[in-house]
Amino acid sequence: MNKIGKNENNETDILNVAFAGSPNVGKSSLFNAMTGMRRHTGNWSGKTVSAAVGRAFIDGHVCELTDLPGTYSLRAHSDEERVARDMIVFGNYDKTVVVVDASCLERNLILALCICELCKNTILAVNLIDEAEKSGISIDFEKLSSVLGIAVIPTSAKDGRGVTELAKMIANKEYSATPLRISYGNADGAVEIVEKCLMQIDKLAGLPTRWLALKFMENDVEQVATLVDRLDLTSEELFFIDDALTAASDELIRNNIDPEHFNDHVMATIISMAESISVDVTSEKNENKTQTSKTDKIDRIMLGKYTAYPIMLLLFFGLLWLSAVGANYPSRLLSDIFAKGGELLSVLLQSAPRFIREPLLDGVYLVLTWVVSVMLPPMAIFFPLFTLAEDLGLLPRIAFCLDDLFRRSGSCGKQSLTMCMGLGCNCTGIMGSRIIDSERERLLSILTNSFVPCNGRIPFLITLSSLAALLLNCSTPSLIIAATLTVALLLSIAMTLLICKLLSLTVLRGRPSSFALELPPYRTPNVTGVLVRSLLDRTLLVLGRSVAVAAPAGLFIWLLANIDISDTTPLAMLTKMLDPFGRALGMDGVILSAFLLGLPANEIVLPIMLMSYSGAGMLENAPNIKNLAMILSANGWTLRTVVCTAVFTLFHFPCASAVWTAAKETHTVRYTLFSIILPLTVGCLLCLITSFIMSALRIN
Amino acid sequence: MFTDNSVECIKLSELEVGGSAVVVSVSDKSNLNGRLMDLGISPSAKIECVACAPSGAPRAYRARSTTMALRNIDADTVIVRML
Repeated sequence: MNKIGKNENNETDILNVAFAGSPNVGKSSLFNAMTGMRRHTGNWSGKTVSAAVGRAFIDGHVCELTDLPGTYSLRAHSDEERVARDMIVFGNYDKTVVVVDASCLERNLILALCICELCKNTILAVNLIDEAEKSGISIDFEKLSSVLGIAVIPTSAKDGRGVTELAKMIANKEYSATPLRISYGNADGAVEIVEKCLMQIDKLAGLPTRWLALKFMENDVEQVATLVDRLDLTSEELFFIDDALTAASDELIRNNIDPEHFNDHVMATIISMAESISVDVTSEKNENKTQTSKTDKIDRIMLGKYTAYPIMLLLFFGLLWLSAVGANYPSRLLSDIFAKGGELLSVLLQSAPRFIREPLLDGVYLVLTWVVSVMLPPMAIFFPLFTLAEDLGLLPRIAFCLDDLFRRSGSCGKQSLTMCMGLGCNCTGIMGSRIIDSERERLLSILTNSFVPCNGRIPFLITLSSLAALLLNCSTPSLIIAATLTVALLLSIAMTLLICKLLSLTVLRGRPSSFALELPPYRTPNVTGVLVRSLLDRTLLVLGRSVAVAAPAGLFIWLLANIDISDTTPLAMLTKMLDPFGRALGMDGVILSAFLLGLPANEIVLPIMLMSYSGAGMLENAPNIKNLAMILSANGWTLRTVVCTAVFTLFHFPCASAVWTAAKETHTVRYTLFSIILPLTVGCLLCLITSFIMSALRIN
Repeated sequence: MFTDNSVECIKLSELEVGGSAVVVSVSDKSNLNGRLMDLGISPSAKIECVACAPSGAPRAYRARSTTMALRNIDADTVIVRML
């Protein structure tokens, strides 16, 4: 909480500016346009969970801009809103820019009015002005400015309109707003009683007392507790305030307002004010409603009764196919480059002693480059495509269509999105679970995310299904591959829903939370922006985490495979020890130990297996499928082994970076352990059953 | 002028796709109450049901130029008057 607490930056020449606004109003894009800093601008609720900070140099002033999480109000229904509210109230910013969507000014003004009441120097940026113009909406900005008593600037991050003007206004040290004072009608007397009381408390000097008075009167337990804590109020001061609150409550009753529902009275006042201001300043040419009708037209197909699911499936498989198949070539290219690099390194290290050269080259370097060359290309294809879908506005629609399915298992539609992210990488899926408001449902999504096979496991599944096709003597292997992948994905979705249901009935009990999801209009994404952001924010982040785990793991694996203990290696010992367990699960000790050692990244499971079978002491590239089948058959693999290994690939412990991410996201050891044990148990049980059935039916 | 008592008040969840209505009241039993107000679904707001998911729920409503998806259980707490 330190970073978002009181702004300690006291350098006089630095201007601290906050960017506030609802989700989907282009706040982050505007922020990027001002700071030039690239960061994520998702087209759905609550993308920005932790605030981003960027610097801009305007007219010789250094401005530190903070992009607050998107919020619909200051009433804090979710963590993000709590963070945003605390930052606005206690952040001590020199200026606050409220970003609103010109196309729905009325609803956005509700938040703007709340912030006006709270911040000294508020600037209103009426964003997405290009979209509004297209739909025939025109706004009288001067009138809006004089009604609100603050500067109003029309902006469009897309064509750069108003960005300079906004920057000038931010840097303008003379700017001081006199925001309109909202009258709460016959509740004004009561508000004044509390306001006057608060003004007498010295330590509250400079704080927005009227706003504080309202918050105390609304009597929201969480809110009051935060205020008391942040303002450091003593018990005497609290008694003093309590007296005023009792008096105010009497005054409210005298004016026919139920103090219990004072909250609603305040909100209703602000809403009707927003309504009348908006009606006053906007004029709309009704015949030209292109923007909404365009979205409605696409939605008729995207959300259509018979078209929604087929389109979603098509998009889904397209995404998977592109990232799995499209990655082949760059993967091979990368591994060739790394092989050349390895040769170069071995020349360089020629003079180094063997006990340094071998673990470094055959251990660390080999595993590291292996992970990078297999992992990077599919992610570099998957994430930009996913981000593209996000910026288009497709993702909230998918959550919308699938919500009913997830609601039945105690979760919510947004989990379909975290599962989809999990296809790219389970770490991203686990992190992405932040988009889910309810803590209970977020945990469900984190705990079950590794049930979805990530990009690291899908290629292995493909290899296994081609092996099965070969063992079955099937003439059309591609059919078997497609069928296997479909079955695998359906199985993982079914398992996710089943486990969510079971968890909801037991450990994570609770009724499904409410679900309010905004469906923003479709917007044309900025393609280069998408590329840069998805590569920097998602791909490199995940890659970095995997590299950090893979390097030490490379050394460890090399040591296991090469240390000589009475004519055997620790790897051989491990394999032997795990063999009975492996057999019971329809696999063998080598496969189990490969999964165990593949903990840093699932991509290296197959190479470790081959290394164990050949006893070579270093990872081996998978030969073509026929040779692979020969090697594996020679080591006792049957169809049963292939199927059980595939099941285990789908459901086992998450990779090390996913565990690390789960630990960071849940902050508890219990749930982290749970996220490991849960899929492992499911995997073992399914393998036991599969193996039993297959041997009972004598399928080998 | 007289008040027309025959005007039909229904739950928001009963509003058919394509139908328009005016919000009469928002029950505070819903744990969404505050949220619905923040989103502009408040008494006297015009609201329109614009879409429903293929399975029939949730439904998407548009009020004050914003489209929101609500589950039926939450839409039940909003009483509207048909237009």
